[in-house]
Amino acid sequence: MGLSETSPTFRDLARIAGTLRNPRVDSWKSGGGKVMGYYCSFIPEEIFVAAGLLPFRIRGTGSQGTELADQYYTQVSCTFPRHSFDQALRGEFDFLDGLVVGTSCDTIRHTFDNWKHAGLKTPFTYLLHRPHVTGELQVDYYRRQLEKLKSAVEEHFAARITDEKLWEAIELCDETRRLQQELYALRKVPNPAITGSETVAVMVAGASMPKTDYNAALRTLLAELGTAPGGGKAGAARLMIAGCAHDDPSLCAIVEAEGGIVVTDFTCFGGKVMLESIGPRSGDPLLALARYGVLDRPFCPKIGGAHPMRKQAVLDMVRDFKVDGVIGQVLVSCDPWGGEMFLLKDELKEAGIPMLKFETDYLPSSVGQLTTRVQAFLETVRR
Amino acid sequence: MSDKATQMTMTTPALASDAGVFDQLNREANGILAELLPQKLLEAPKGGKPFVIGSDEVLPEIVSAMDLYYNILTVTGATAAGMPDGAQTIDKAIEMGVESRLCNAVRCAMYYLYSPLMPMPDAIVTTNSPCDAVDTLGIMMDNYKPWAHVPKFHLDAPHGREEEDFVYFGKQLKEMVLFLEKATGRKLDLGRFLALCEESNRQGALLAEFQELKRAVPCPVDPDWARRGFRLSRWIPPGRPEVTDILRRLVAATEERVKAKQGMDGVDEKIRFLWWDVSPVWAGKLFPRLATELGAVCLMDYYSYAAPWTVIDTTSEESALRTFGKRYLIDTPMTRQAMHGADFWIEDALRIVKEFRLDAVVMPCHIGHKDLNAFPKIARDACREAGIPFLFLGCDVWDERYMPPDKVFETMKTFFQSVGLA
Repeated sequence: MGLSETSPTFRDLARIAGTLRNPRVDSWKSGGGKVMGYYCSFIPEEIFVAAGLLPFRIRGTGSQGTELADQYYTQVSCTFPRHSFDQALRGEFDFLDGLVVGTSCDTIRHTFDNWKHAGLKTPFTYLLHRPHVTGELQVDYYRRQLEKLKSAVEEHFAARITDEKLWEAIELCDETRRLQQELYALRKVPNPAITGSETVAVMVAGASMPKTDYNAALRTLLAELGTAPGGGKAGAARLMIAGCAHDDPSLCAIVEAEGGIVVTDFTCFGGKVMLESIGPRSGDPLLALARYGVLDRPFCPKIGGAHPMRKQAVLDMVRDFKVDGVIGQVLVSCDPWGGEMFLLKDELKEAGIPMLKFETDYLPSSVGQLTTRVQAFLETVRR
Repeated sequence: MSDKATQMTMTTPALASDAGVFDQLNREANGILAELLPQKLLEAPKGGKPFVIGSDEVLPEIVSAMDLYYNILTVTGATAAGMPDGAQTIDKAIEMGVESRLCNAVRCAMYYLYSPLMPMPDAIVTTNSPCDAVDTLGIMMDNYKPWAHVPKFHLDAPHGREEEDFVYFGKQLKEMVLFLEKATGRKLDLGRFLALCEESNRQGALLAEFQELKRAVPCPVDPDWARRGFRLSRWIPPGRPEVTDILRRLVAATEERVKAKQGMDGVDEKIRFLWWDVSPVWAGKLFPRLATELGAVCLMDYYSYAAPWTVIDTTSEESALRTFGKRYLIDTPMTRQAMHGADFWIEDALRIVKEFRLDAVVMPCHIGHKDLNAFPKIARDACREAGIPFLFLGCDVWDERYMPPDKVFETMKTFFQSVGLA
């Protein structure tokens, strides 16, 4: 029996993750609240929270195709921005009062251009310049960029973001990360009470609803899971997923339907988001945010000089979660993750960890082939 | 290396050559550009100088002033892709399991890295510019196991175009100099560095003069000379007086043709177009045919672009590095077009069309350029609004198998006919 049957809290979170405009967003908006959309996990939600905005991470949930977006991109472009932008063109992101895009990969960066060009109903748009190297000089540069973002948000939304408000927002988001770490820790046991696909839903919900509500729900869920029986997969192969925009529980569901269990992940909506924390309070909050983004959590493969940190984070997870094999998921046309997987493949091999690497579209189109490959992989890591 | 291979790789076959002067310039330029052939690049580090390898071009004046040997791995990959056996090199790279749509120039560079064909460097400098593919290559170089012990430096090229971006990049260049001094034991000779910058300024000014001459209708010489001029002044160790001399004579000879209102030999110029991407390695199978059969002349591409080069301020080391940073971020081909917003790319295209009296914009949209592939509609709409015929192709500038030159020719011919230009 899954959490959908046993936990109303999980059902609520899964509903939020399973759609874009959800009841929590509606309730926020009807109370006069504003919603700030953003691409990529490195964008500091804390600035939006401090301004009294609801941060909402852009994704392509529910997209059926890219017909409208395909005027703006070619077939060579990654399908994650194509699906999410297609939804934007269909008006499904009209509830956003603002959009912040970071200078991450080339395709996401130009999605900012497309969003503006299409004349979408998003009153505030901003391109955040994020460094692509980890280092002290970069911290200084990034702090200045965050200062500019803060000023732009303050001006547009008539908000005043004090240091006190920023530290409060940092503490709130740190609490989210701490609770998510607790959730992940529950999966270290031999027979976890929450599956990988259920975890994806919980993590995605965290970027789609008010943080205070989310933290409360997470506390309830953690209490429920603490007393819940295991998922009945005590002897199953324990797998980890590494890759980019993994916001759809279906990949985990395929793996778990074939007899494996996904016990952790290093993905942009999942495990990468909750690693490390910013607090405790000390001095300039913008500097703390900059240090966190550039030095503590350079987990985007676009960041030079930080691959050893990413590799170590993956290996630490493999050790802590007793992972038997890693599934490397790359969206077709993603140069940064393509390169990262090219390196990880050999590094994991050297560490004696089997790896299955596959390229897929945002909406997996060849489920049959994927299922076969997962089956074959499970044979190689079968306990 | 045969002469034929050198010619194929280094130039598109000259469309016009004043029997004496231009043939001589061709010979001299090709002689120097032959230094970029992969085999020569691989042998050169054996010369005894410390060997620095970079993922992209950012620091030619600096490494030359430190008397270091410098290789740009992306250029090596791009040049390898353009060799007669380029397709085989691409196929070997694919077999290595690189991401399926990675730029083939970078794939070839990765093949050279992992084969392993590249000599062991003394220092590695990587940068995130100009595109996702080269950024990925930098991370590969950075983490290539046999080079694990080699000192490394990472440059962060910002996407901004404000003064703070140039200052930020200039500071990194200063740190890079300190890094190189420590890694190679060579000191930056400030006097030599500033002298090289001044020579580089002279070359930049001559290239700008040549660009002005290209405005003449009909175009007086093969416009590809601008691209060769760039390679001579930036990819070959810079500041060489013989390069300045070639450029000076090129300008003088072109000026004569403009005065005589003489266009390219054998070309009845009817159409002038912008190829707003990297010129393909198979350009020799396309551009001469377009010119001779349709009178369609490619006036400009990324590496022969029209922007005047930022003058390096040689007042001090700091001012030189800051303006050097600006030159890199704003003027360097590919970085200029790929690192900034779509608006910047379009402003350039429309400005060039106006200033050079062009008739059409072609967006080749190399499949490896993830940036270009993310804004074809913006480009099309801007051209439509400006009343400029616009053609989107979708080709691979390093691998003609993706869209063969004959097919590109037919597509362009149909397009020119359809919009009433041919």
